[in-house]
Amino acid sequence: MIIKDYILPNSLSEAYELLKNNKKAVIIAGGAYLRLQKREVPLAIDIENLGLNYIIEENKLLKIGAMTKLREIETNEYAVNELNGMLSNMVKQIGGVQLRNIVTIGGSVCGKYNFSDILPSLIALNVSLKFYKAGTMNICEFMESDLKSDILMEIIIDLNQNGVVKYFKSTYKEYSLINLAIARNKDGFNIAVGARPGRAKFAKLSSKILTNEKDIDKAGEMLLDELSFKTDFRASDKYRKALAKTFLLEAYKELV
Amino acid sequence: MIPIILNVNNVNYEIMVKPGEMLLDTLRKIGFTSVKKSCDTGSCGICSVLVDGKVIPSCSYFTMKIQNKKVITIDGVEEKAREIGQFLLDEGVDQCGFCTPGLIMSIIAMENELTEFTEENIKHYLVGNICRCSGYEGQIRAIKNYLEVS
Amino acid sequence: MSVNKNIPKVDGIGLVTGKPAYTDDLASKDSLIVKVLRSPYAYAKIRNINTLAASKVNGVELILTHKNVPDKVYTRAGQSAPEPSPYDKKILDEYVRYIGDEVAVVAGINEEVVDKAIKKIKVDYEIFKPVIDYEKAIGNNVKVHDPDCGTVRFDIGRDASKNIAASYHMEIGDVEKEFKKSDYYYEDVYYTQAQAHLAMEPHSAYAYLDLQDRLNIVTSTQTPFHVRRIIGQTLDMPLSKIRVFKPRIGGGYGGKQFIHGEFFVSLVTLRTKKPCKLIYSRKDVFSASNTRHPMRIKLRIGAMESGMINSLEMKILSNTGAYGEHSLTVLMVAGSKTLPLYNKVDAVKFSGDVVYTNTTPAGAYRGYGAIQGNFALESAIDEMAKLVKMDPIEFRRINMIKEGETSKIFEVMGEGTEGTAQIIKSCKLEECITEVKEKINWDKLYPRTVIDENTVRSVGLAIAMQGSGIPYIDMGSAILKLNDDGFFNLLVGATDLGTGSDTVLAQIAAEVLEIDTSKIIVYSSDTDLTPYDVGAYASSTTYVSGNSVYLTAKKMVEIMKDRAKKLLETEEVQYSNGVFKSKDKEITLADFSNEMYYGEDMQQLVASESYYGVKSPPPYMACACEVEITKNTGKLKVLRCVASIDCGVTLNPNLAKIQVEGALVQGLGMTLFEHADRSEKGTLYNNTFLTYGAPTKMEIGKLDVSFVESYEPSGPFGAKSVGEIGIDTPPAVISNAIKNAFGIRMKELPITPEKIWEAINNK
Repeated sequence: MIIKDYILPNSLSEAYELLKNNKKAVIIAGGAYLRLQKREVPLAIDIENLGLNYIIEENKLLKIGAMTKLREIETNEYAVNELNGMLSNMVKQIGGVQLRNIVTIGGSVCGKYNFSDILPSLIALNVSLKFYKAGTMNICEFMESDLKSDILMEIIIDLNQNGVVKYFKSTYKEYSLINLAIARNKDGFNIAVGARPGRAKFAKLSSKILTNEKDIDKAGEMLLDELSFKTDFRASDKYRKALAKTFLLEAYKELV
Repeated sequence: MIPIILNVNNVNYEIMVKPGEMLLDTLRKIGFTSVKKSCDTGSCGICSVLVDGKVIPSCSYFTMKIQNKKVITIDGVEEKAREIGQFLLDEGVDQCGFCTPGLIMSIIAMENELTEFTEENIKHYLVGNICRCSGYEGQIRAIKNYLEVS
Repeated sequence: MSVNKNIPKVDGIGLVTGKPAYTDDLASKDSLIVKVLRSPYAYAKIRNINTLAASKVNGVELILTHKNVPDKVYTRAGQSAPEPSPYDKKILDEYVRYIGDEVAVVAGINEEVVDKAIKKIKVDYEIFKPVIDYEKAIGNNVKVHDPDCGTVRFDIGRDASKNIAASYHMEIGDVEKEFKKSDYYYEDVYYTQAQAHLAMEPHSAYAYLDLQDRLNIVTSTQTPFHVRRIIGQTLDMPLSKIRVFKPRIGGGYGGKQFIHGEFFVSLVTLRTKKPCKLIYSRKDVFSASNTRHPMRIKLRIGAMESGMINSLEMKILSNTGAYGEHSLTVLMVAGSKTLPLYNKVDAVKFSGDVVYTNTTPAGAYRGYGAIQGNFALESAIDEMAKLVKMDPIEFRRINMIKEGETSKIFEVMGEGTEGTAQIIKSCKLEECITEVKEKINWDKLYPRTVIDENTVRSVGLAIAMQGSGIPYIDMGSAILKLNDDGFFNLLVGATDLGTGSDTVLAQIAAEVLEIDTSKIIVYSSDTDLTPYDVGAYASSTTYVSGNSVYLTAKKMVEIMKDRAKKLLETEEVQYSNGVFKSKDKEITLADFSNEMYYGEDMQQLVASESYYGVKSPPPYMACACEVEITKNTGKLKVLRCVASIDCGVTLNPNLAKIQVEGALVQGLGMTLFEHADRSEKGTLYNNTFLTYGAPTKMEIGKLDVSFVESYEPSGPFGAKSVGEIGIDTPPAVISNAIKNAFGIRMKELPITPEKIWEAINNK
């Protein structure tokens, strides 16, 4: 990526003004994935100094600042002890420790990367995202929207849940061939699958079946039906489907 | 070009950088050739340096972020590097040597961060340090000896 | 004692503390930056190339295109002259033959300037349909090379009109006749992929003019002397005007045994008179340096009721990509360094074609054909063992080569030329197998253990051989110089890739001179200052370069003793452990050396000897892995990998061990993880570390490498080679383990989880 100008604003309002006035500007959180894109950008707005690096628990809600590094999430006591360790597990094999010390959860969410190991878990946990201008919205809403020109501040997670995340990698830290997350709260089950190779998606019908009928096999069938799985140079659709189904069964077993 | 002050090994460097310059290129430009470029995607650990005590891939870290932070390269921890290095030498795993400075910086960070040094923990922490020469087994032997864990 | 000792590497402390040591560290700060504009098409002709706008960019110093560089063909292969590779490459060509092929070279004062200029180069391509699939190359309408262009130094079976870069065949006995007699017969076809070397240091070259106005090239290379010769001959420069120096390099494994950026930095420096450097980007290393030769190997094996193999045939189709570097020699090694393992056959046949395709050129890579051949052969051996109803280890035992025996193949097949007969003077294959069998717990674990309905564990085994240098072709030499204070400079052309050869050679000299290794200061790989060495390949350094150091040190002892006689005024003198003794006088080496510089009868003592092998004694090894396979995902975990190697005497046991451990992981990488997928158009998908599949610390469980010592009389202190052999067995070991687990033969590398899953679930 070729960057023409680079600013580190000291307040959210300053950052937002810059963003609003520069349609082609990019927000730099960690920057590790963004820099690999082949394009020229007139302005980079780095949100390093806006105090968005924190993990706080408040009334059984976990609030994670957008600039929180993946390594911090991996080792944080809430991430390890709450939600069945799901938050820690979802980041464990994303690159090595070095990469996780600069990649942020906010950048990972906003990037909407197909290969993301994080998105399925956050979708299954039904997290809320707090944006500077657009306010708070459900992650699924964000994934479907084409919200641009805004700044993600915080991710809010209800801790009254349990979850299991699974991903398949040939070597330990490479991009997953498929990843799946399942969470259970008082209302039922939520399933999300990513790296299909398409980006993570909430499996609405499959989740419903599992919640209402507790029939994991039927839910598995529906999962393969409602979501699209494709072949790319890394894996075939057939294999991805088989892995997804296997992971769903295994994850469900672990969860209940 | 933007003027910045970069603190490396406790010395302030006043330099001009391009807006999108990566820390690795800046460090090499100043003269820290001990930090090497290999995969250029944050995937191999070769360019590892410490920023405020945390080990990061300098090829993927924007230099502009570094203001008011402290960077440590292997040149800033010569004594420790020799100490750890000797254990690597004693196993013969300092082969082509290209991955070694990055590995040593990561070992230093690991030593400061972890409390339990099982083989599993060590391997997980250092999995981001790719080595093509040694096959890793000897590195683990050396690191265990250094940590006095068996 | 200096040999068989774990002497730490002499450059160890410097490297681990990050001292400037590699090409890009040494390049002067004012070096021009050189970058290459590469072809986006797999096959095209440059109809027109316009560099006017590019040359006007402020800071651009030189732009090279095919129009302003010498039009000569040469081979980039780092091999002794006359090279057994076709001369089919030009410095810059009117034709581009793979995605990544060089179109233009730009030199400028910094990277931005060069990047800007490259963007402004206008190229008008005439695009041709490429040939990407090497199985469709022979006789294809698309011809990668003009049959009228390109030459060979001697007949290597090249026929560019058919897209054949080289071909070879040999037969001992009559295999068809023998197959008819066989009680059991097996044949199948195996495939291997275009593995990337993944040296952590990208290819780097730096050039400058020295005070004598000579071209100095500092480059990450395995073959400095070949580089000097090839550059000089192709640029029509006397070799006296060129110096090539290899600094520390960050890995090679064969990937730096060819000319990469050296021509470009040479031309830029010669024309601008300024220093310049070309550092490959990682993407260019993947797609525009070289790879392993992908091969299709057909293996036919026949055996008798007694269990004796009576007939063997290996037939290969090898893909050399756009240019033919190492095409014939890698092909031949696939047979010459595998088939002799089973020397009791009545007939053996080896043949193959190496074809051109419009893909990244293939070249030298650790194992050099032996790993591909071993995959097919050792898998077939297991298959035949099953047919004959013998345990695969017993089947190997009765058929494999033993000490004191020979194989006719040694005489017939060399590397590119005829071979050299040899009786095997050191071979501990039997002991290696016994050691591995016991350590892996073969009797208990073979063939498989069912852990639960979804998990199976099994074991697999394979054996291998390699060589030690190329007889009558690889030459090494050394110079020893005695300094005051009793220490020596050892000057060798031998190329340390990080393997520690500088250290091992110092150990050899120290052993002969009976002094501590610290008193031998090694300087290597400088075409001006060090004597000739062929370079680091063909597992030649310990054996060939080592022997030259051994002879040189022995000569030095003689020379010193002669002078000591004069000094001590005696007819007879003994030398041992750094002391010269006559009947009643003695003098230490240090004092002696001071006398040589400052005494009455002064002389600088120097010794120099050369060595070339008259045979290539093979190291041998056995390897077994215990694996665990999960049926519903196809994931294969290597729980343990046990290997036992006979490389003669291990001059430095630690360094030898690391060589094998590293090679095993590299071989397991090729077997299980490393991808080289290409689109139909020829684009390489896996051109970053993000998707290539480099093995990490977490991939392999426990590695257990040990050595069974033998004594090779022709090697320095009994040593053979160890640099390559470690990589050869993993593909067959894993394929055999999977066969033992599920009865399925995996025949295509890499053996990915999906392939295993597919095979299990679609039986």
